[in-house]
Amino acid sequence: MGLLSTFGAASGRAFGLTRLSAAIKDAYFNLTTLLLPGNGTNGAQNNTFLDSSTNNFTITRNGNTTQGTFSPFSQTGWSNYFDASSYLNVGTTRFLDASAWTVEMWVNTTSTANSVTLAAQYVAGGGGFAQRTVLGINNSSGTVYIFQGGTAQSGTTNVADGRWHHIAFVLSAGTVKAYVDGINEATFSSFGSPTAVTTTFFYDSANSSSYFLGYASNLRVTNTAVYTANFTVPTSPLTAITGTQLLTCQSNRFIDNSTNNYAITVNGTPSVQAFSPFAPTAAYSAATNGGSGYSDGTGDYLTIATNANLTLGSSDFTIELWWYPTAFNSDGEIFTMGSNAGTNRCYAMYSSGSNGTLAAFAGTGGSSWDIVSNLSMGTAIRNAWNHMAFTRSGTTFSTYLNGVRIATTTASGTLGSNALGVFANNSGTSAAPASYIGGARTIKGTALYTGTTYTIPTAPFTAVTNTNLLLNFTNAGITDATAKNDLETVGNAQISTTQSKWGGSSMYFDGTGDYLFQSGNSPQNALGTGDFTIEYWIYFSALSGSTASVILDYRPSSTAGAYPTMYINTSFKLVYEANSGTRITSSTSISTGTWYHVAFVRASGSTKMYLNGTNEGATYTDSTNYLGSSGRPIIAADGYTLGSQAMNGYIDDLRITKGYARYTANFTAPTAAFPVQ
Amino acid sequence: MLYTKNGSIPKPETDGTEGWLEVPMPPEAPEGKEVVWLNWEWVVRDPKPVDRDGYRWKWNHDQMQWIEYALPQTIVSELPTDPLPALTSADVVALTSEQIGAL
Repeated sequence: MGLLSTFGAASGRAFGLTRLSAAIKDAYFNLTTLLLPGNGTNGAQNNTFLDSSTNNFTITRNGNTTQGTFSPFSQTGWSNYFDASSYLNVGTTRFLDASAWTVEMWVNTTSTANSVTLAAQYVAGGGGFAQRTVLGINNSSGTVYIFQGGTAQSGTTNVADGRWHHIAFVLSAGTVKAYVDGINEATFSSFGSPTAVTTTFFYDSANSSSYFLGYASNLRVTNTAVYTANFTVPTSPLTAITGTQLLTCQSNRFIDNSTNNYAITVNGTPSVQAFSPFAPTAAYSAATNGGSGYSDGTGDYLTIATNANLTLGSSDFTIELWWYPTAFNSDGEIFTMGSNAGTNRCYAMYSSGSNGTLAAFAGTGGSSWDIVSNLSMGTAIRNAWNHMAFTRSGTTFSTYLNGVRIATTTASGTLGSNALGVFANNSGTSAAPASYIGGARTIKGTALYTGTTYTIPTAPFTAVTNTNLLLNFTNAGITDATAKNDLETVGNAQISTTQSKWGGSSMYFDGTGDYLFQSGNSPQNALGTGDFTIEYWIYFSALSGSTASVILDYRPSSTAGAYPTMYINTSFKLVYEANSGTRITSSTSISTGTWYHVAFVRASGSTKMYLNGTNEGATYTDSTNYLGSSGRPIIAADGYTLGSQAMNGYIDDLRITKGYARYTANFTAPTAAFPVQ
Repeated sequence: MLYTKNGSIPKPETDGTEGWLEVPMPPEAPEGKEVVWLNWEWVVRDPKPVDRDGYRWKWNHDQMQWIEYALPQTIVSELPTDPLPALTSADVVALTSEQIGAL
């Protein structure tokens, strides 16, 4: 990397900005879980959806459907998040039987309340401890360990600190060595063949409380000893080197990128997350990285009015979209012209039941699916991107899931014409479960996929020839530069050029019901037990002596406890509240009409407030395990009583860093916008 | 006259870039009503009713009315506590079968 200089604080720790020859980069961008630069068109919200085909159809938003930068093509790389009941396995494959192997991955651990398993083999039928083999993380010390046959060896580094760590276990000549961030920390001699029945990852089937809790990225298993001495940790995603048996936790879905191409069995509810150990190779770009629309499954949907140019008629066609369901709680129509139960059945992509069973339908517009009925499209995986396609080539109709043809049938007929519904049917009923759509396209006149397999798109859809509808969901005004979150602009929350700290605009909230609401699936918004930095620039148009002005609130509705809240109190002081109590209060009174840089930082169990780079108020001894909650944090209003105590003013460059304290002493407030990569 | 770009809330001025469209001035809000910019048009409607815990009112533009929906409330990261004895690094060398079973 062409490092030329580092931007830092006047005193204390540098805040992680490094200048490269072409762009300023943040060395801790991979720990940044939300970054709102507040740049965009004056008045822009996240509520208007565009058709990027030449038809430029008007799209009507119903409910709180929103859009943002979370997409199948994240610039940040990928990990899998494991909660308290999730793990992966690959059939009955026994990866640890070989005479040499390497199991490596990056982990970002959210808790080691239990000793957790990264990989395990055991004897079928509870065959005893002698053959049980576990590679894991110890519950009390947070160190890695190797266990077999009643003996264990542990490392020394606490990896449960909310940051990314590379962990490698290497078997060579009967000895297993554990490496943490490239340093050998434990050695287990006389390691025996496990003679087991299967390998599980992130859970030991023989120990019901051993689930891994956190993020894992780039899990690679090779049948060679990749490392024989201390090494420099890779700085980019792992590849399938010689001997690679498994390569996963590095894609927008649960797949094995080794040549074995094993089918990954997903157990519980792990999720694919745009959160990885690596620095992005470029900043987010709508054209390169795309976006997504989000519906919470209750009243959120889009419609496009009946139009002759929208119908597919008797032509060849392609209907395709990326779908990331976060729940399977009902039958629902994902993308439907007409409705599944109505008298206007034209076409539909449908998810049914509690397991994501998919099917496609086509009809002439009457009360039955009289062309194609219930053509299987496979089973979608929850919390992962699924590429779905439904095509017609002549009289052959085919369905595809993730590049593989699932079913084909022969039929004839002219598809009917009606209004189109996205996330539900065109009357808003039979809604799809809570989910993201990361791009949708219909093509009238071309069957884009006709074989048994195809290469799944690796970039956002474009208006190829005959495209008659193109939804890329990239018209959000307030966007997350880390591509992790889609935000809902509630009320009149908008981009404004009236005030700006950087970039010519900021986010404006008028104090009457305006705020930002997090959508969907972002477990990284739980700050956990580690270090963190929450910072932003703020400018108040008005402050009240009778009502607080809430800036950021993690509390769920009517719930206090392990959730931070930041606000200006009725004495105009900046306040940090947590665990149902006021913990830090500024000495400075906040005024209207002035930009302030605000930072709240937890470093090694002490949380401090910085105002314009100067520490103010008490230091809060803070061992809180900060929790996450759906829709949180609320930005610019109260979360406990949703939308109340809304602030009247502007926020610019809001950044949340999880796992790193960017400031540990007084510092010079940032003199430029935060880097976006 | 007001201007919008890609559906943004109309403003009296543009930034000089392409893509701005003229839109009419908003109508006056009758007593007890509000005027909002939604889906490329000015809408006169009742203010949003107050949400009850566990429910959320949502605007259905096709029906031009507020509809109340029940919402799930999910705590993302409340973690279970291991009821079993903690294992320290000093403990993990040469454990007995009984100790291992308690892991």
